Amino acid sequence: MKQFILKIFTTILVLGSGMYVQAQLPDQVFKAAGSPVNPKVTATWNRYYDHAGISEICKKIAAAYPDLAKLQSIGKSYEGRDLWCLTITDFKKGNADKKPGMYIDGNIHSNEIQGAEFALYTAWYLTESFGDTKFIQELLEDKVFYIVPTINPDARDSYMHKPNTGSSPRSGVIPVDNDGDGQVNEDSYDDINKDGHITMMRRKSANGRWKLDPKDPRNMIQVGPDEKGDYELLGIEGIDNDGDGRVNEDGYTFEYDPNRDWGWGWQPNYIQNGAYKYPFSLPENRAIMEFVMKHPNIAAAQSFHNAGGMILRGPGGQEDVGTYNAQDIAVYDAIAKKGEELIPGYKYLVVYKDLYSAYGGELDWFYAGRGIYTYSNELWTPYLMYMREATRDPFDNASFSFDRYLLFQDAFVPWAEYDHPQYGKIEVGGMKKNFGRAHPGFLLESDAHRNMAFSIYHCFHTPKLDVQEISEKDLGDGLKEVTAVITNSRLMPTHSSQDTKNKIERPDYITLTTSGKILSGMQVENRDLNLSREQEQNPGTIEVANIPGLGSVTVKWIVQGGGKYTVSVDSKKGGTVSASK
Amino acid sequence: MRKLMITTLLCWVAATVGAQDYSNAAEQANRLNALTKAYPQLTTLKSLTKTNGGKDIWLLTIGTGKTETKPAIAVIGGVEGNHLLGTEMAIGFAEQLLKGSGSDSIRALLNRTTYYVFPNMSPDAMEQYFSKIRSERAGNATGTDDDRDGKQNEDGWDDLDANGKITILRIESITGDYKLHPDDARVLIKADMGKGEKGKYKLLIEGIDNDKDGLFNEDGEGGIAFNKNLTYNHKTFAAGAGEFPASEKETRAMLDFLYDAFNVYTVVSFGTNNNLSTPIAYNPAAANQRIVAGLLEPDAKVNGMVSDMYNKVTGSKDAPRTNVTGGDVLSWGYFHFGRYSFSTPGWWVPKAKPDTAKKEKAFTVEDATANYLRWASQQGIANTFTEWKTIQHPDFPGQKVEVGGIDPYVMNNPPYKMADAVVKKHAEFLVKLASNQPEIDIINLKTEKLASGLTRISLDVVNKGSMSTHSKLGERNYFVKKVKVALQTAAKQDVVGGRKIHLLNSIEANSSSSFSWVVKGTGKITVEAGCPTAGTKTIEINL
Repeated sequence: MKQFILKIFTTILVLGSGMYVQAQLPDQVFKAAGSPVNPKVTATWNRYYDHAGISEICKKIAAAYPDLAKLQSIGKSYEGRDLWCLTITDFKKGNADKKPGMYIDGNIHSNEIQGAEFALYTAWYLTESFGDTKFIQELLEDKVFYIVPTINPDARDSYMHKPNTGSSPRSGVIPVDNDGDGQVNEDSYDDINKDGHITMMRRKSANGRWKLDPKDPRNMIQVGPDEKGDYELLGIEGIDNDGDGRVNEDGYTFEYDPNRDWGWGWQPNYIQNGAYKYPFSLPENRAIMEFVMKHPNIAAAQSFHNAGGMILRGPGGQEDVGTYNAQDIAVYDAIAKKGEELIPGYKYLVVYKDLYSAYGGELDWFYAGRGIYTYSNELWTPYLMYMREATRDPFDNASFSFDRYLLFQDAFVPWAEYDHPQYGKIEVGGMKKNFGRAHPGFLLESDAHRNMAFSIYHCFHTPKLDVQEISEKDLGDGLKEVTAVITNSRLMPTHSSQDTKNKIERPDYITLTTSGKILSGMQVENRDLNLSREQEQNPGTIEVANIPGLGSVTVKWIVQGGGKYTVSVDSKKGGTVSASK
Repeated sequence: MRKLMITTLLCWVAATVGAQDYSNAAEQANRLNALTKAYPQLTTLKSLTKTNGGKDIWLLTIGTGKTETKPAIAVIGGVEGNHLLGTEMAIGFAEQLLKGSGSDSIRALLNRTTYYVFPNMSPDAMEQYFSKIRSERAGNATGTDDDRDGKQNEDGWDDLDANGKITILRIESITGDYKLHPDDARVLIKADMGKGEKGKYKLLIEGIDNDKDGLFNEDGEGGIAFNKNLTYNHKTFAAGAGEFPASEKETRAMLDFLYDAFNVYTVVSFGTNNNLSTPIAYNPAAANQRIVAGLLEPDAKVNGMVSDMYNKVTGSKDAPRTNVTGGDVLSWGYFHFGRYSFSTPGWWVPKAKPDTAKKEKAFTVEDATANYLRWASQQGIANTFTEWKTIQHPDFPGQKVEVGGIDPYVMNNPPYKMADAVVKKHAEFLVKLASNQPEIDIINLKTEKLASGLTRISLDVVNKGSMSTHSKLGERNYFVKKVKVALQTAAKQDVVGGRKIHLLNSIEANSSSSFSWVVKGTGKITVEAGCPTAGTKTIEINL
């Protein structure tokens, strides 16, 4: 016990002194425009955090800004890690869960790590900038962000702490018998050189078709038709562990694809590679689904991936082309085109058309299943290396030169000789797992900021409703006609067209409260031409299918007696607003 | 303890001998528990989950020894909540099978085959049959907003004539589209506008427009229907289907179990879908779509073979055509689970012949209800029709509204006394089906000494069954195990020729694959061949 107390005391001392050492005195620093000058939560945005690291930053943000950030675990991963969600809004103003919401997650593909940092940076920036940035204050008064930095924490930790390539695991960690031989994970990658990175194997060979690249001897290039090579490439670092004549065919590094597990257009694995058993058969996705179902105020969503520098929208499957109608595409286009401006090197693309058909993706369920305007940004593009077009080809010289002159060869494992049980004397080497898909440290913060700015723009354009007008007209005989105009000053309607088509969310309610008797209520179709549609049942609350983006709806009531009128609007995705006259 | 045993026994006796009607959820549980008490060596009973209505989803496993290592048939009842017979068939099958388990043939069967019986996938809905007001309910106890207007269960049916049954309303109307059946005035049929016929009635399910939205009974009690909630061709947003596939606990409980049950080679479900009376024909266009929508050719052949057997065993005929609508278990079993999948309602109203003694004539218009009434009368089944009676209906002031019509449930569930014959025939079918199952064996073993300590081994791995080890579509499935042929070496034995491990997508019915190895070394060496759907065979060879 005594020892325990001592331990706590030491911990406090270390933590306390740590904070003291790290935070600068206010008079020692000078604000760079657009960045928090002396943040309460010191976080370094040129490195990556495992799940424990993310958890700690989340907790610090929530502790430092109790009126702006609340932290909750919205479920557990397969291995029992918390799925943390930070709710960021001005909790002193309005009901958080009734404000139009923007949901952000990252890291669904476990090797696509920076989505978590980008999401977390967003939470950090919003809370740290709230004090001195009027725009953020107004934004958080109106809107709420739900930020889940990683929705695949088990495999995130697996990616960081176990031997992997830059492209593995991508999966979660539920074991699957990949080759159908009755054994599970019996033949995974093998970290022959024990450096935590799974790289390439090559072997000197008189019959090889590869040679060293004269521009950078670390690189391998194929020889021409009339040329002799010196090396053969033997694939990814590994051995045939189970003696079945195949290498690396059943490991923990790819079990399934969590982004083929969502409940819209889901297809089984033989049609959609990566699909698990049925929609939301993965516990992490199930937790997100349940959270989204409980938060119908979510109107916009971003799911961060890597790589390639893309702002993606659905549909994922060709079969769903008709799901997206012109009105919704106009909203998607307007926001994403702004995104292309904000994030240099990123291109706005459509999944099925510009990439490949993918069924059961997260963005498809968010949009088609729930009516939420959703993008997936594919973070990191080789463009960012030299601010000009480049490819993600691992043998691209741009990568090697960037590594040589800007990273000082930190991204490369030099070739070295090893004995392989099947291949004999081989060499192991190649690009490390943290290069090619993940941002190099010095580019991480700036791209996080740009992508956050895009999310903020995206969120800004969720509906903003106002009661613009309440007017009264005397009809004689003690009857009054009360007209209300409700405006939506942002791009998104309260119901996307997919939503109105399938009635995903209930209509918006526009309610008149008055001491008089409401005899009739109607939605006005054309005020000038006096066209309207009566709602016979419950006329005090007019049910409106949608309040269009950058538009308005007009309703009116015939009232007997009364004088003071309050008009209240209650929209699942548009929030609540009321005005009196 | 003794008292408990006696009570259990009594329950069992009551359930099996004295029952006059279909079993409710409690009686179903009693019958299942009675089986596990009576046959503890052959059965295990497990509750996979509880529905939102608090009902158990039972799984009865029937087999011997390590049941998970024997090729298995999944038997699924209660696929639709209004199909009481399906649950009766599933439990009845278990009772029949186990009753016969003293015989050598059933013993032998249970030594090589496992049955996974899911007696009732719709227990919430099925309980409606036993409640005060009978109405054919499909949905479970999950709260749903069927008409998606933001309110739940605001407009269900209403028992306007207070007879404890939800039947039909007919409203006289000049725009009506129904007329009286020319041969039986109790029955209404659609007027054929194309022939210039005029209707006289509008038909509605018995009820009122409780929420005054112009629609009748569009959002009542009853949530998600199991047979609309599965993953193949799911009708997202349709009433009863769920917000996404497999949204319900009972659906997931079954899928979670079956996806880990690699030994299941066939799924047989009891519900309105029917590919047993008439097999699904091979349709190349549907089979070759990216999202496969038709049986692959070899699988259609198996469907044909099994269908022939079904018709022979059950002697059934005149089955009504069925229409597979999506989200159903028949389609899931094949298209997503990748196993052979069969379904039958088990019973339908037989075609009634006109009774010449009563001067009946063949119907001038074929109609299921008219046929039922004729058949029921010939069988002496009374009180399944409510005569039309005029009522005052608040939504149709000044109009003539009558309540009446056929009882719920009677068109797709025979009177209970007829169920036993259906159960026995289908138990026989399920036993016969197992005799066709894939079965791996190793034959034609040959060892040749090439030199001292150098041996060539050759053999054939054969599937002796009349079904392939895997459905053709199942070969593509991620959640099946391949046929594995493995040479297991001991110390100081080296394979110098051939592959130690072969993985095959399948071995077709009555066919074989040849293997050979050259091995250096002496002593005993083992070859293992098989897969969960066809069993595993191991042989030892002396080098």
